[in-house]
Amino acid sequence: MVFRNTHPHLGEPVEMPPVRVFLQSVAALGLVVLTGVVVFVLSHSIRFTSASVFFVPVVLGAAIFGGMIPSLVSALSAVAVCSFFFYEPILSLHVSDPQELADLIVFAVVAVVTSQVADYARRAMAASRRREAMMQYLLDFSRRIGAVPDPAAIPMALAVELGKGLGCGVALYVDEDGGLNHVAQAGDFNAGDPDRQAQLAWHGGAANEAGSLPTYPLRSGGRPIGLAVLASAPMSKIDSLTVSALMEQVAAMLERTRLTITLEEARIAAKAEDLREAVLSSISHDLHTPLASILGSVTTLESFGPRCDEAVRRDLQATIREAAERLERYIRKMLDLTRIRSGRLQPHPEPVDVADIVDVALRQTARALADRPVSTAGLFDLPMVQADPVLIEQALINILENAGKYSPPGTPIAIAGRVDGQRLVLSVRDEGIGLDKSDLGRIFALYYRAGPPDGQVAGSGLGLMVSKAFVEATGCDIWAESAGPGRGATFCIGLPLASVLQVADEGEAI
Amino acid sequence: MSEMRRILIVDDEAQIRRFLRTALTMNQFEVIEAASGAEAMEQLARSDVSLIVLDMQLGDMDGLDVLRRLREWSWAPVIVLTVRNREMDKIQAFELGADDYLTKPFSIAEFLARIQAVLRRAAPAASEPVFTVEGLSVDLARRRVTLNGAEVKLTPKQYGLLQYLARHAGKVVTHEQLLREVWGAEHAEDVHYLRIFMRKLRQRVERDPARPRYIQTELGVGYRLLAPDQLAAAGE
Repeated sequence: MVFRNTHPHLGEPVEMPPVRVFLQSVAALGLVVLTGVVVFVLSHSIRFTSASVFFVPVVLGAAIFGGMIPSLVSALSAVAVCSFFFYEPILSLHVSDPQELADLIVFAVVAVVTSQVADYARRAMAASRRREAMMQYLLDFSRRIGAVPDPAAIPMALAVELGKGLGCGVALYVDEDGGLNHVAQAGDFNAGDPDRQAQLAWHGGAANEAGSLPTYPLRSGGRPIGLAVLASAPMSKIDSLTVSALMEQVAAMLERTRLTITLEEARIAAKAEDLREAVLSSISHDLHTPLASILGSVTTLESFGPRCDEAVRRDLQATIREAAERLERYIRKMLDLTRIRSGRLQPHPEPVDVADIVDVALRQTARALADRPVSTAGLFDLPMVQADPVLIEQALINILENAGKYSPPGTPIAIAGRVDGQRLVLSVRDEGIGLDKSDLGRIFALYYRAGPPDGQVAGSGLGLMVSKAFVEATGCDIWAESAGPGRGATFCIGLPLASVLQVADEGEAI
Repeated sequence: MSEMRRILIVDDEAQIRRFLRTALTMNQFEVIEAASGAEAMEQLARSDVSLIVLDMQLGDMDGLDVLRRLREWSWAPVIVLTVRNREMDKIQAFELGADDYLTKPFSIAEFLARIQAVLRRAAPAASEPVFTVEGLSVDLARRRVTLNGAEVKLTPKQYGLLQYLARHAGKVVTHEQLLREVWGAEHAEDVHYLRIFMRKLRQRVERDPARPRYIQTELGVGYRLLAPDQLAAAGE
């Protein structure tokens, strides 16, 4: 379907302009005179009983192409020409022969009736073409608006389309949150003040005082929902019916958009509520568990410490230490999350070696990965990348802690890098529990944990989400790969290569 | 002077002061405490200290302000305590003359190792002509670098980097300090110079340049050439 109608004034107008009527009447008169001359010339060589017959096509033509007035003009002038030139006595409007008189009267009646019927038919046809054009325009109008994907952009699209259709600037106002709000404006208002006009009209003031802008109420289901203020009167070719049909459609679409947005907001609010619930239960679990271990171990030491043997005391102390470290990791991630949420993440990208980032991250996770062989072969030979090293390091720490959590002790972890086009892909591969295909996308979501929810692994479900946010904040991306459950997982970070940098290192060895 | 082992702890958290005091006293240090910036200034005016442990977030003033004010007249080494994600604070602290930093939370072993390292360095080191850590030695007078006895060939810029790090061994040197020193003030922002030359330098002096032992990266801040005691603490 091609949108043919960008303007609502296709099709001929129902009412002819007076100049056109006058010109057509003159033309009809001329045709009658011409026909008279032809009939007069013919009458010398051919005998015919009724001259008026020859004028019938002229009158019909005038009715079809010109309408009522030209056809009446042609009918009357034809009667005059016939009685003057063809019916005895010639050169007089008087007709003496009763048969000729009857002939002329019948012609006059037929001509007048024909002109009326033809004119009616012409008007009906023009009106129906117009209606069709208008319907097509309105249909295309709603299709064009329907093609706008973002509900928030619809008011603006409506203003633009309406402005194009009406040929003037348009400002739209919607009544919401207890006041009339300006939602969109297209075109130029020059000196006009649509806001003031809208407020005046909305509150029942003098809407159409001198110098004011044309204002149309927008109604949906009979209820006023807003206003459209135009910079000037719509193009003269557009009738008021079309304008009000357009306004009706605009109102319906604005109302629908408002409902869509309201629904979407409700949906988001519900989701946020779910998230808050999840956060609260996670905080409760992830803070209370290690705290319980710490308090329990410390009170045990206080009460029975002197009576316990050295090994038990060491065990209790190790528990306290591990629980505290777990708390620290959790709080760190919560803080990271807060930083992400509050938009206070300000990346400082710089050219950096991934080997440096990996080295620092491995020093930070040395305890968590103490019993795993970690390989970093080939990292030193990779080109520099452009990224915020601290954000990437923290993302990597979470990935490494994760690899440690979800793979059995003693299994290797391989950190590697490769250049792929304009970026460097850094990967961390473990030989742990692996991931289902459906997990690959979800694993970066908040509070998502692979495997059974009550599994042995202590995790907050925050780490990968933080990693993703950090990596993306500094213009990189992150994804997971896995051959399937039980077959290990690979986490990859794609980092843009730093532009090639050359620095002179003059001089030889000292 | 070198026998004095008095440490000033500036932290507004009484519990933190308590465990630091315990650990330090057990290690034969004399400890004085300050709970605020103002108190710290009073303590410093009253007594000589050999080291200051300064928390960056104090109730009454910013740790950086305290550092700035005490550096106007005191050259006692300073270890700052920071929280994570405050790289800008760290850089500023180093530029104001801090000697090292520790990120809270930290273990007491880590804390004591830093204290020992900073104190040892604060003593005579600056005048020593040869810096040695494990197999690596930098002869600052003769501009000679050897690794396990074998001479290492370095370009002037690479040597410039190494000797600056060696003169500040154990301390974090910021990117800007290194760039100003080796390339000049007009290159103070050109971090990529450092990255390229540090890579070349590590290739010459490190056994595995991807997992360096001597020169450690402090991401977003700078580099540190480990002092012998730090290297020992880092373990094999």
